[in-house]
Amino acid sequence: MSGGVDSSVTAALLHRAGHQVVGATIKTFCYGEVDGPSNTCCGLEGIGDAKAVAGRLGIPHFVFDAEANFAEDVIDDFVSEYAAGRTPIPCVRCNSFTKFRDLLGRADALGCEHMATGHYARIRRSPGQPTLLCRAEDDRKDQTYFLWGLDRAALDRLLLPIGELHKSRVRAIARELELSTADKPESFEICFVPDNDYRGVLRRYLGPGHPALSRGDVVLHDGRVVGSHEGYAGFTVGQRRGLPGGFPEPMYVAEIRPEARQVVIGPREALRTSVLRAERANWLAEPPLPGEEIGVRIRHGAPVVEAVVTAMDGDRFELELLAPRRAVTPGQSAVLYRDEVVVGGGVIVR
Amino acid sequence: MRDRRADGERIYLDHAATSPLRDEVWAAMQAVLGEADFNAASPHGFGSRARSHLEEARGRLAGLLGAPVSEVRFTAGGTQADNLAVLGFARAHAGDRPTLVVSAIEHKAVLEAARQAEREGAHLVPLPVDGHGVVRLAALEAALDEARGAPCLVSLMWANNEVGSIQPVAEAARMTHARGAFLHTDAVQAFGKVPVSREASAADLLSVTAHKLGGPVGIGLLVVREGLRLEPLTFGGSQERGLWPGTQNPLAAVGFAEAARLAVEALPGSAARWTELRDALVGRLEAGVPGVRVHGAGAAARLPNILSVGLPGADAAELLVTLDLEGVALSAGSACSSGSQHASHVLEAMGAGSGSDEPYGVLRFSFGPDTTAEEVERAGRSAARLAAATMESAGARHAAPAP
Repeated sequence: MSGGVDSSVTAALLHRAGHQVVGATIKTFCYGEVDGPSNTCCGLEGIGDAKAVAGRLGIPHFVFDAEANFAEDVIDDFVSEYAAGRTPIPCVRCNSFTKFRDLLGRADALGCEHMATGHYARIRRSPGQPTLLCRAEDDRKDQTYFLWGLDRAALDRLLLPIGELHKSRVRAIARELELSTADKPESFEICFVPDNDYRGVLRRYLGPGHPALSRGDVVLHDGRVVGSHEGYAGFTVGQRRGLPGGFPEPMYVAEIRPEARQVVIGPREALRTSVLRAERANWLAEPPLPGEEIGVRIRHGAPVVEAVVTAMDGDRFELELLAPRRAVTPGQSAVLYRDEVVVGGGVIVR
Repeated sequence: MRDRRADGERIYLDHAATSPLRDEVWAAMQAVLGEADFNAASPHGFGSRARSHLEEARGRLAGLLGAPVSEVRFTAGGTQADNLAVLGFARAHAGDRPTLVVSAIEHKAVLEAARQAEREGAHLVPLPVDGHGVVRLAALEAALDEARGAPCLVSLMWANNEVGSIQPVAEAARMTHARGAFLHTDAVQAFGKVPVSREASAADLLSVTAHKLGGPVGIGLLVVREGLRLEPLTFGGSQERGLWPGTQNPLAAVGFAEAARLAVEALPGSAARWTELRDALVGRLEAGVPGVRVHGAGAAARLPNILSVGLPGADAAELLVTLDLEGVALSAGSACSSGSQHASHVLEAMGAGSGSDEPYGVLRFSFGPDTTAEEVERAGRSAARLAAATMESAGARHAAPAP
């Protein structure tokens, strides 16, 4: 229970359905330790909201400190991915490790049969068949993009009740139950990145003099230098903001070359690519076969588009997109779908 | 009102966090409703009546603490009293670069206030403790010598809140005064559990709070020796002789005084009873949990109502939750609203712990006035059984290679 409306309603629905529910909040990060003496972690708002909801429902609620593992599994990777010129998604790793491995381990210790979260995704169970993860009923809220890295065995234990609902219905239920979180605004921040200042986080972990945070050249594809930047970690493929002007058409980041500290820019067309390579693959259903036509999503909120699997090799795969896409961004996820079913995914290399 | 005593299934052994409001205290507060719930600074009859309840409570507390009534300042709680003592002293002597000598096992209310004072220019000297959680007086001597000439405050708690070790406050005060320095003692956990006397200890500043005694949360006090200079930390009134401005809380003060009276009058019988409960609990845990360690067992004196045990190989977070689900409420050391499970600074200072990467679970049992032998027995049985289980599962997790 994050303290938000989705996990609050999840707990409420399961409680109402007669489950014996234990609420849990994981503390992933302590702002107090980096920002001085105030120790604001003890006042993290979400914990209070979760406690209030649990109290209202009459269920026990606990806070689990996950800071040490979270730093190792999520923050370290976040930092090293940016240092390598990629644009990581920490939420994917938090789900894979912090929530659906570590917290599930806590649930085991408490003797819980299931673990439920407020994710917008669906679990499909059919007798004699493996459990499958499917896209949410509310397509605009679908969060399967962040869930491809789960251990497949965890699916059997999961309950995702609000994946069957539209967000408006979830809020309506929260209001019906008079939950204090009913009208809480959505959060878009990464929990360990205060004020969305991810460069500040990188400075803290890498040190201000790190190459990823130091001045380098902005170049065209042919290597011509057209300007400078204050650290390639401030850029992501497809970005337009913060680039030198004076070109006949709008320019975008096309590539980041960390070893040369270069940010390569080009016109819109230069960003189009039809080949996508990914690594660190994880499968939640039968892995795809070379030649298979499959759906792929390459950004959260982007549509699922058609592709053909061109290669499968260990934990790596390669796709050919039937229509070339702009901004295939290294570090983001490529999540594969067969209709509603999440097949699995990987981290985009290029 | 929900009657908490009707809930016979749950066992509450976390009185060191908050001891729930006693019936007698609630009755005493109800008896003055309509009189004590007014502004004690108001000039009219309602105000005067409230003021008279406040002052009567002050007088009773002063008597129970062995302090002159003119030296008792009400605050909003123990943390506020500690902050006022430490930071208030440092700020009052800011021009002379004051020294603060602070034991390593103080409550965060003292430690963090001292760190703030350090940021503002004070000189901070930490005092080490031995393996039983008792301050090393030889180190105090050295620290006082170092501070000679500058205004100096020593802060040494009466008894530690996590492990219960009682500190040689009177002796420390004697050494401190011999060098012209002052002594603050945080007696928040000790008051009402062992005899606490400002007079006998000769402390210059002494903090106490109500909710550890079955009094209301939100009121504490600081005894301030006449003539000792402190700066207030908040502003906007002259209440409590300007040291704790803001509307006073006579209703809570009445409850505070009643809770203190009940606790002090129950001594030494209550302490003897707790000691028996504690020793029986130790026996049960030692018989049921391999490798269990009692923190502070070797201290010359300990609080009778607190038992802190270390469980090598156990995961405290898991254990507390499974115990709570069984209806046994304990804590891992001190209460933090976020449930943080960081290694405690107290155990670190004592050198207690696993001494390796191995998990080291800590449980703190703390008894209150109505804790029964049967409750302690049941809690001990649950704790022993669940501790053994969590040691097994934590051991398995610890042995597993990182994914």
